[in-house]
Amino acid sequence: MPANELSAPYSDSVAGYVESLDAGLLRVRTSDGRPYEIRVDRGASAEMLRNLGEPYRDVTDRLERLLEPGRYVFTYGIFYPEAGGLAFEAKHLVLVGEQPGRYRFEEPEWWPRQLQQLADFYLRSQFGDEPVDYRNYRTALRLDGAKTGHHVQETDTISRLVYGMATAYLLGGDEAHLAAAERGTEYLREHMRFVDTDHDVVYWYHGIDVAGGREAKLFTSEFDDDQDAIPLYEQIYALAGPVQTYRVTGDPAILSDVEGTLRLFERFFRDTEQGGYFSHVDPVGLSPHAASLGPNRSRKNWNSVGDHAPAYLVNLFLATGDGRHADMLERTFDDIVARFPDPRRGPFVQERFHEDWSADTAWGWQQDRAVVGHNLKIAWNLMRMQALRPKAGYRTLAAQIAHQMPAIGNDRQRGGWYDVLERARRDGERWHRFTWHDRKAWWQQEQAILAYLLLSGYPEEPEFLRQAREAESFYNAFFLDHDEGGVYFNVLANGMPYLLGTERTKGSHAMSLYHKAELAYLATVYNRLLLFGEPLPLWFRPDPRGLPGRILRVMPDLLPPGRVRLASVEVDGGRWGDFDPVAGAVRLPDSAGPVTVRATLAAVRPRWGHPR
Amino acid sequence: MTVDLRLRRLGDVVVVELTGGLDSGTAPAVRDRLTAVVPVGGAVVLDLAGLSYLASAGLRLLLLLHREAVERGSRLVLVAPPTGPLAVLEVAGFLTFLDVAGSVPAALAGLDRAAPPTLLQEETP
Repeated sequence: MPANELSAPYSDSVAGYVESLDAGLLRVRTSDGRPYEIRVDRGASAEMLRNLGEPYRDVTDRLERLLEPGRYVFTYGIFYPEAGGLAFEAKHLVLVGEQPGRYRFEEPEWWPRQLQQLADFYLRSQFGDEPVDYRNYRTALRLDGAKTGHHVQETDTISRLVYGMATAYLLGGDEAHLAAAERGTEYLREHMRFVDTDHDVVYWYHGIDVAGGREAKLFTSEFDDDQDAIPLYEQIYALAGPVQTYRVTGDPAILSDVEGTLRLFERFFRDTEQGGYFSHVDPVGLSPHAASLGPNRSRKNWNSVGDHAPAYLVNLFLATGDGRHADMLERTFDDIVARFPDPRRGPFVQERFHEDWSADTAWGWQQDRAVVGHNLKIAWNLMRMQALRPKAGYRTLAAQIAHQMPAIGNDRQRGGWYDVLERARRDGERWHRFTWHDRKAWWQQEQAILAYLLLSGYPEEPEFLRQAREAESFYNAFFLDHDEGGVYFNVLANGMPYLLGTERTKGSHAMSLYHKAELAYLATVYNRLLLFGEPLPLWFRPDPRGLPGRILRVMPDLLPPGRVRLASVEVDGGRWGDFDPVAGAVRLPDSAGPVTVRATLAAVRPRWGHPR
Repeated sequence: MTVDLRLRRLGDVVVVELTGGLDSGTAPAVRDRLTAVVPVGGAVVLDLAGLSYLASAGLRLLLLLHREAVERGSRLVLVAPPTGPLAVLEVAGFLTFLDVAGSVPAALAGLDRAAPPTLLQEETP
């Protein structure tokens, strides 16, 4: 027998579009057009996709009727190598909607409800039934949301939670979520902020250790990649929560901290000669060129150049309309277009650079490897930028990435998007090799969903809606933790949750309520306003006295000009007529305190517009 | 701005007498000098009575020294910071986790050990 011959039964999954069902034999075609024949009459159960907070919906009895041609379906079962081929018998199926072409996650309330469930999970986990008090906050949460003995409060992680709470308020108007966002922002200011009066800048501690009731400041990063340094990545994400809260409240104290942090970026991290932002500075001299930085000395990377936009800068521009922020966005995206593509060395972008933008292919874990989600995140954000200041280069690179990624970063048999791959293939290799595993991380699914949803809002790209739907299907089918609440960090290639080590947790600096809230919010925005033409009410709670000219800006994202208008506004429950429907700007009443604003946005020329 | 350091080793305790100012010009060199001498399991007693100015870079230096000490199972004790720098430390929130003593003998006496260390060696910068 030749080596490596497939000779034992094994379990796996197949995702595809139903072609026929005949006497218990299901024929499907995968995303890339490959046919599979699957027996579904030997002990297979089936469920309908469900949102967080919904009960299990068994549809086994209706399976035969539901498996109509054209429907997208996940099948999990056993492959039997026999008779010169592979027989596949399904044991479990997940259906994503009641009819072909209908997807439950396109129900208008799907994503908003998911975000409310997620926000409530984190409220319960962090603060229990007590009033929100961030002294009780802990970075590490177990799978079920319980705290551990870990006593560090990380700035980024709180900021990400704050982002999620502010976003949940934007979408749902629950005062409890807003209170959590505001108190978290105040806690960050009081405990994590360092005002450097010598240089008139603000920076943020990595975190504080609150063991034993003492509050010890942790200045430099505690993460292995960034030891003994101040990574720009952490400073960027320290702004995510406060800026999103600023969108809601217009609190001038937040804006002051943000401006101070931006001065830090411009003075100490920006490379004014060769462009871009350095990834690290040394903690004493604040120099990116200090020898103590070791492998992080004089380096730039995706995070330091590109992560400004999604983490805070787009939202800051939306809230302020300040041209300086649009200029900074334009600079960073121009750098991405000019520096990141590396077609001579393959389809993935280059993510790490030396000072002169030459490729750094020897850094730490990254070496010459690609993070699939970073490529997708670039495509998504280029299209946002395209809406603000269109350039051919933005659109071209976004479309190029979006066209190339499915064949190399997407699992075309099972659905879902991979994690880290080797950028170069060796001779004879068909597949880009997986660096560590073939698992799929929740945040990378987010990037795919948002990139393809936004791209599918443009008329020339009809294929991208299918990619978006497949990614939304996989995420909602396999990442939602219906038992404990929240979202899983990683799943195996076949969609089973991977629950070992740090990937078992719910509260790490990455896992806190940022990516999944951003996804729920923007999937709602793109689905309703760009694709299917449904109104979108958003909630704000500003104090008019803190806003220049009492102007509140309510545009939900950087969207193609002319596609969205502000349709109506309520202030404290009453209709309010003083607004600019095109700019999405509301002139608020001269109130002596905060007012509650409900701004309803409407689609103009939605791309698809079918009834749901 | 200049700074002068005088180091004494008392067993696993390093006593540092700092004279001058700590700002972005002087702090990097002080960092290099002091992080190299943080003992394992002992203490750094940093005599700040001669500290004329404490800028942000100096605050960052103290945080790094504290972290280095914690990592090595050691302690950092500040001694007699003058009124101005003391106020800076307080506003920055450092006094909630940095130990401050009124004098070097008081700092040494406050270290949790059976007997005060005795002078073994003296270094000059």
